[in-house]
Amino acid sequence: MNRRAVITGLGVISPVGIGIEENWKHLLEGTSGIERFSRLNAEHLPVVLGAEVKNFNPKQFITDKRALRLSFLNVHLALAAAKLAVDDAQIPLDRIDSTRFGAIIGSGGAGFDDGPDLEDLKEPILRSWDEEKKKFDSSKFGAQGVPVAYPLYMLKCLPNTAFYYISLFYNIQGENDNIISSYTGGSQAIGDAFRSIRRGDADILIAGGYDSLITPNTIFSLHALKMLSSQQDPACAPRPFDSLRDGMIAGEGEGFVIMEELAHAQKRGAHLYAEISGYGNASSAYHVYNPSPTGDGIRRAVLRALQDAACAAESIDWVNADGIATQESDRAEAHALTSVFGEYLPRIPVSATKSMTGHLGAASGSVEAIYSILALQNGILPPTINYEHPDPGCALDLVIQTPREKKINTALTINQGIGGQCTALILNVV
Amino acid sequence: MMDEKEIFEKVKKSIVDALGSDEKDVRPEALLFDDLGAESLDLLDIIFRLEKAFTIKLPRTSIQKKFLAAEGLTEKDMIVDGALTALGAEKLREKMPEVDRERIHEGFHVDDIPLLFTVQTFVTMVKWALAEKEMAGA
Repeated sequence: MNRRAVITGLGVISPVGIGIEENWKHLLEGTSGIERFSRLNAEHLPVVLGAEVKNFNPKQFITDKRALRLSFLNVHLALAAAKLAVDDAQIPLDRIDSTRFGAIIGSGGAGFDDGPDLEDLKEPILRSWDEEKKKFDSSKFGAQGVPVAYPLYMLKCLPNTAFYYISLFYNIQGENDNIISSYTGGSQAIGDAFRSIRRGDADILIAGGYDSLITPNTIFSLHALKMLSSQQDPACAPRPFDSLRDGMIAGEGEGFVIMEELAHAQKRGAHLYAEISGYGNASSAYHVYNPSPTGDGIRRAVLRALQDAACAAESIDWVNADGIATQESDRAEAHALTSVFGEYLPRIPVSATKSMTGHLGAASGSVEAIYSILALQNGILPPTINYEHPDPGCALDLVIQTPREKKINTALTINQGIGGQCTALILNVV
Repeated sequence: MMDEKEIFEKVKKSIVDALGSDEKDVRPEALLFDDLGAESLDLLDIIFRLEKAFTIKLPRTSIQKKFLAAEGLTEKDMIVDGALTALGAEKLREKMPEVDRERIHEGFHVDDIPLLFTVQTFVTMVKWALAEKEMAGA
């Protein structure tokens, strides 16, 4: 008999709100989190719209001065969302076996502009320049650069900074991983946590992802790849699955769940939000940022998740799509869904919450898993906003403009990222 | 040469920036570790900030040895197996008059010297470094 994994706590921070109540309320209202950039000067950027987290005060969530000082906004948001999840699950930290408490976290790479002061590197790099060879000399950097570099610079830039503080704050001593992949880190973290519980390697874990795409270098790079929307009006973008879509909106967010082995959760009387019953993961092995046009990676990820959950395709009641709002990606996803669900597809409603949150990078998978859990709990499917012009290449039963009341038992949430990584998670009512 | 008050204000700012402490807590007698909640990596941060603020050089990883340098004496006279000799303890008391004499004794571990550091200790350290700089310049 498989050990079963249930979700007992949710922590989410996104452009549509802080915490599950605010997020869910705004999703159901169809309130978009997209605005003109406020932290960055849009006049210096090739695009003007972004999805920033608003009204966030890190000191409301983090008391550790060192954590505040030696990390940056992106990590502060992650620590805050992790706290929301731990508090929501009411984990009795002094009574659980900390060696069976794990953390699997998908971290985003961006956000350095906010904290580690790049100006601190100016002098060390200048001292490391070999004028004769016209190149950076790493030996010179070691000998002459490091002595004048801010000594804690490296600590600020570690890819697992959030993991460290989360493990420290909650005394997490068990199974762990820190996943770095483009946009599937959060869903991979949840999938791996699920496998960890099934295998018997942990009884309780925190799992999820955090990221910010709101940095000038990320925005210029995504723009150069023609992946970002050039819309000027925040009420018009992004437009997942709409034939007039013109790209994604760079966003930021954090989503963490507390996952427990069913008996462990029941024994302590935890609130059971949902069960995770299947995880599938596959790679397109196609193009660095364009998905395979057939959606082959997604198709195989979904098939694996269905097999993992021992779930028939027709049992899926709702799909929370990746829906990033580029033509290539939306069509690949629709193609994959058609090939998996065939005749059943017209009966399966599909939502793309990125229409309201923008693209949350590595946090997308975990934030969207949380939205799926809330849909299962509440029997309401959040809408896809900005959808007006059907695309024949994406023949889906989209939940558009307003939420749809529908009691569902099983939800599928899909994510894919640059580099061709694809994930599918299947969640059920308990 | 800067006066002591000026030095103290700049030292205070470096400590506040490094530790995120409240300015009012950064008093001359405040102990860096016990009162201001610092840990060893913060020491690196503070020293780096002091070097920048005063354009001076301080030893980053062995700052405690700075307090045991005395003319005509070698490290062996002061330290045996990482602990202070009686002479080492005496010299350290002279160098750190701001510290309770009882706390510095024979056998005190050299690596624990930073635990004795107060805000005033950094003011003293900066004064030495500024004097050395002036000497070198002259």
